[in-house]
Amino acid sequence: MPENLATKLTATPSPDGRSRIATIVLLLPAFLVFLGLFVAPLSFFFVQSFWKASIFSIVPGFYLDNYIEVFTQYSGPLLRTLDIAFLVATVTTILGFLFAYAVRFSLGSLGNVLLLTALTTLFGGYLVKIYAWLTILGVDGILNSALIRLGLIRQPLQILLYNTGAVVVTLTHYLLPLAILPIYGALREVDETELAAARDMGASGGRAMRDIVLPQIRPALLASFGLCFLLAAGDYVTPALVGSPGRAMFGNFIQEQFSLRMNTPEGAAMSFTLIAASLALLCVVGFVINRVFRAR
Amino acid sequence: MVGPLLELRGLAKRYGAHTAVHPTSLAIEKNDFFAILGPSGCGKTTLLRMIGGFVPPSEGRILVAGADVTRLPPERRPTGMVFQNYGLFPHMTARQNIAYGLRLRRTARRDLDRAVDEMLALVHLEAFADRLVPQLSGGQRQRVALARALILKPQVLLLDEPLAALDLKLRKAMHRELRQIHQAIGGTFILVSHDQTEVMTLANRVAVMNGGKVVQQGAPRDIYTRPADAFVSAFVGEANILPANRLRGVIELAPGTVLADPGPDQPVNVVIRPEQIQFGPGAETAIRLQARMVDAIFLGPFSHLRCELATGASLLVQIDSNDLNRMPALGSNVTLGWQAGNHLVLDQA
Ligand SMILES: Nc1ncnc2c1ncn2[C@@H]1O[C@H](COP(=O)(O)OP(=O)(O)O)[C@@H](O)[C@H]1O
Ligand SMILES: [Mg+2]
Repeated sequence: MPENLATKLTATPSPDGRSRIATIVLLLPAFLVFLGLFVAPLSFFFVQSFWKASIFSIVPGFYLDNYIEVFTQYSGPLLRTLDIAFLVATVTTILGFLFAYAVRFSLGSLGNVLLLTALTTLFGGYLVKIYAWLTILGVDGILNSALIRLGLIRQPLQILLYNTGAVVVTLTHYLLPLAILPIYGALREVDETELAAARDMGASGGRAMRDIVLPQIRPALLASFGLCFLLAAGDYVTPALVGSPGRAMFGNFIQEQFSLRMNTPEGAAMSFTLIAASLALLCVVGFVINRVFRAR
Repeated sequence: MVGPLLELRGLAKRYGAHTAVHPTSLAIEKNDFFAILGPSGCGKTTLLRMIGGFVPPSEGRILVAGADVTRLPPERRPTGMVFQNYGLFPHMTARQNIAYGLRLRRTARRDLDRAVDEMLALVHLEAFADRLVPQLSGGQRQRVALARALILKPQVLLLDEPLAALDLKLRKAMHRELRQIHQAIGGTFILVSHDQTEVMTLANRVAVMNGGKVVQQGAPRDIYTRPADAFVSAFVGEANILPANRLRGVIELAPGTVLADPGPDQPVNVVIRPEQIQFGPGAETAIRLQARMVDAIFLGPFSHLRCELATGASLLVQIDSNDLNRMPALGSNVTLGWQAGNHLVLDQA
């Protein structure tokens, strides 16, 4: 039946088939970028983390020495880094939630102004925020002069800067807008009427928040926590500028391996250890968030 | 104690310069199915939310069983609300939604389960109890919202256009169910609606609102037969409104058609319902008008004819659809009329 064949050949492709091709074409550039800039280098470094650095060259092979060294030499900084990142992410997520909650449900149009203000601080850049804290917490910084002016202290406090507390404060300040965004996005999906209904049935404001709001935004809480945690755990600029020299974070040691010591295999092994530890910790946090804020 | 269950005394709400609800006083008796009827934007939701405790009034007081609740937050008022868009908890099942209020009251597990099962049966949702809210249809969600409020046995149940989102057929079925529920469990219901058939079907008392004011209240039938003004007459059912002038106790509707109506000389509206107008040259009626038939609209069991008077005013006439074939052609001249007691004369404000 030639007629049938002709109609078949000239028939337009089914909308399904066409959209599948369109999807592939549209996704291709992003996929290539992802492959070339993310998967390929990571795989390369993953393989290299099993190589060995000798005096002037790098010896391919399969050695576990790098990982053993991470655990014997760097477990202290690793744990400290996870600890600081956990603290920063927890504080930032809680503050971010409270901020986003107030903007969404309590502050009306003033809330939008505050939200915009919080987000514009992202334009200022990261180093600006660090130097801002240097001028606030420094020996002749704003905080010390204010305390002296108020007569609360005589000598400027030395302990404000160059310690872990300063690192936590600076990172929290830097990461707060990033924590607010996913949570605020999720809160916009929660209808105010749900809160009104919960109140109507006898729930206090806090109870409605726990029973109605938090269970619905669990993914966003984890997203905010994860984002802050990973950025804090991988940071090496903040601890270098406002942290205690003796208590550097893991990122500082990784940077040292790549630059000063030119030991890329060791640096790679340290990076993958940090990634694995972070992912494991995030899994636990995700599980806990899911349990604690589940619908009851 | 005797006296109304719910009393509003001069309750008002202003948003800046805009007055959403003018000072309003209402008394609602125990076991009333009370309806607040009015067009969209007239302040119905605001009034209901003030009663529920969600909108702080600008002035006035709210009393439930004689006790002042004006300053109490919603969780401490003996009222329950079904919201216009339900406000169901999407992360919970139908059963969890219905149980929520009792769980807050720390009801014992056995009593809670029994109460929830009873509610599920009352609203015919037994088969859907364990579905999450997003998996329920609009009608089912509506029932969950109703059951969730009813389970707490509120002294006053507030319903904010609870059926507005449903299609006509489902809405009619829900009218029957709401009536049955009210008859079965009793209680005082306040329904807000812009749908006059809904209000007529459900309520035993109605307050009609317009522009933030209650313009009339009473039994649905009284409001229909004796509307207080032209707005009410047109909003509650269909009405023909003919503006005219009263001079020395006589109103001239058209050259040769006069009504005797004692009262001061002033502009008036003569209101006549379409179903009360008789049609055809043989109509033996006290009041007669000459008109031209311009349109015939089939509406199911009955139809509307639109007729134009010489003055340019147009009148709707309701006829039995069985008679539609016997009607004169469009454009013909016809005689309309009605019996002397059937129209209403309302002074123009
Ligand atoms: N939060 C508010 N702020 C300002 N104006 C409002 C607010 N809520 C309602 N209004 C105004 O009050 C009037 C009555 O609204 P509403 O009670 O929702 O009417 P309805 O329920 O009868 O449609 C409307 O004009 C509305 O724009
Ligand atoms: Mg409304």
